[in-house]
Amino acid sequence: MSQSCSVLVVEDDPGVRELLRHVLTDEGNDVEVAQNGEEVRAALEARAFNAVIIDVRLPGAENGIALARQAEERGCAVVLITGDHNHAEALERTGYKYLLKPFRVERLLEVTEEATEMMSARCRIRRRRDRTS
Amino acid sequence: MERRATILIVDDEATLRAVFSDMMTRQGYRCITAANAVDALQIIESNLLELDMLVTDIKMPGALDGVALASKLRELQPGVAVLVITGYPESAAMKEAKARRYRVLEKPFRQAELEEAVAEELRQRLGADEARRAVASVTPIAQARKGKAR
Repeated sequence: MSQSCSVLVVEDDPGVRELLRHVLTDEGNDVEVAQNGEEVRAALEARAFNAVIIDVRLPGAENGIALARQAEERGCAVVLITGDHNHAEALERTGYKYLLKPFRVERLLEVTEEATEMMSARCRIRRRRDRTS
Repeated sequence: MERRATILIVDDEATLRAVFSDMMTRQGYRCITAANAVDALQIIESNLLELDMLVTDIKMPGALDGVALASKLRELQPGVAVLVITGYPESAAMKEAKARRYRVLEKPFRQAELEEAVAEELRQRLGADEARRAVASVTPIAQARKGKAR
C-alpha cells in the first residue's frame, strides 16, 4: 500500500492471524486483530479502520460475509480471503474484493489499497449526495 | 507495485534467525521468520502466502527437520526455492537434502556466502531478470515507504 492504513484482520487461526499482522505491520500499517464476531464488533466500536481483511470461513454462527457487512456499514473497505477456490464465483457476487490462497504479499497490499480507495470514493459520493438532498 | 521476494526463515536459534532476517531485509527481500519447525509448518500448511524461498536450518528440536519442511512446502508450492543450512554435513537429513537436490550451505559460512547462495537459488527458480528485480531495485523503495509511514 502506498500509505499507512489502519487495518483490522479477522482470522480464527492464530498462526495465520499473526502472519497477516506481521506482513501488514512490516509495510507500515496500523494493524489490529480479531478472531470472532464479538471481537470484531468490539474493535469497530472502539475505533475506525480503513479496511478489514476477513477470512470467509470462521467458526461459529457468524461467517466472514456477515461480519463484512457489519464492517462495511461502518465505512470500512472489505477484503475477503478464502482457501476454497470453488468459492470464487460466489465471492465475486458479493461485490467485495477477495483473495484466493496462496497469494503474494504484493497482491494483498494492492487489493487492500484498491478496496480502501473504492470505499473512500463511495463515502465522498454519499456525503455529496447528503449535502445536496 | 514492485515485487520483492518473500523468504521464510526457520531457525531455532534466535540470534541466527535475527541476523539472517536483518541481513536479507537489507538485501531487499521480505522476510517472515519461524522459531521452530512446528511454527514453520503451520505457516506452510496454511498456504496463505505465495513464498519465493525457504531458508531453513536442517536440525531443529522435535520430530520435524528442515528437509521435511522443504518437502511439505514443495508439495504445496512446487516452484519455491530452498536453501538448507547445516552444521552436520554427514547426517542422514543432510543426505536426504542432497538426494532431493536442495541447495545446501554448511556452517560455518561467511555472510557473503549466504547472500550468494540465496541470490543464486532465487536466480535459478525465478529466472535472472525477476530475481534481480526482487532484490536490487526494491530496497530504496521499501525504505522510502517505511520512512513515509512512520
